[in-house]
Amino acid sequence: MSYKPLLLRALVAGLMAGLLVAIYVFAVIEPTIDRAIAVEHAAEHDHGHDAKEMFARTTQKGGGAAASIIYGVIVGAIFGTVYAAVRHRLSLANEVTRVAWLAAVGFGAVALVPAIKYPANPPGVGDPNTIGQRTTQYLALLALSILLAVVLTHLSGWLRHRVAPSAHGALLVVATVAAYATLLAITPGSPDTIGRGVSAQLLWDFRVRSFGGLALLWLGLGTGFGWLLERHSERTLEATPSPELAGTRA
Amino acid sequence: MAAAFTVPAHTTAPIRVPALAWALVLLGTLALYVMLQENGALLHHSWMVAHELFHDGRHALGVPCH
Ligand SMILES: [Zn+2]
Repeated sequence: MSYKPLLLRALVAGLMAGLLVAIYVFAVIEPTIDRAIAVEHAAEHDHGHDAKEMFARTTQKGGGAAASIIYGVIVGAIFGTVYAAVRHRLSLANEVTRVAWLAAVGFGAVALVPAIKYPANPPGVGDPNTIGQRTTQYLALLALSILLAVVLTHLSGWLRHRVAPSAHGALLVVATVAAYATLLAITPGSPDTIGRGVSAQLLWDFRVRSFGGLALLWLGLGTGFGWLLERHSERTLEATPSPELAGTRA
Repeated sequence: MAAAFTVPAHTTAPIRVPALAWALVLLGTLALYVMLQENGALLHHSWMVAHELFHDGRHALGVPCH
């Protein structure tokens, strides 16, 4: 298999997953954003200053959908390239299972870990004065989370020749849990407090729905790319039969 | 995770990943940063147009915002 057809399929899968998330964002997340903005505007109005927005809400909803699609395509391209680089080291049965495994790792490191430490917030919750600090914290956690995934992957390979196969899996699970628990414990918490009339129900709804969107993206990318690649791989095999197969036919 | 990295019984040939692909990854990462994280920290504030346009996406995807 070569890189180009692989990347093409990763881009297509990313686009499809991004479209799926765009629909999800529009139908499921935007209503909670609207609820949060209504709370925010009520609070601003009470303080006598109505903020002037650059774009109308409908434009921002379009922008939200566009962001989801662009996100899907770019994550697809990056995921496909990483997959191309590590594919020969994944000794799982086929493309579907290999892609699914890498997508699970990607989802865990890029979506799940940041969502646990710095859960999503609807508009009006974050303090504008701490946005720089929160951005730095988020990016640092993301970078460390990806780094841990790479280190644990190498640890897995290193352990393979040193411990019994029965102990390997258990050791790796313990190492993974310990490493990520430590990461989540040592990284500083968000400096913000939640106030200004945002109810716990609204916050919870938003966080669950936002996390659902990330899960949908990785699920769509992981299954879509695996399926497209498996189909491609089967076709390539049909086109160039292996010597043994050719021999039995002759 | 445990079964994933075994010594391959029948080796899968490595895919040759061109250097350009890694440039693409870098470019994609930068594009994601501009779209989702740029809050005026790195770029001129005229980029705030992009910031405002992709605003809902930022909240939906769970990255820090207002
Ligand atoms: Zn915001």
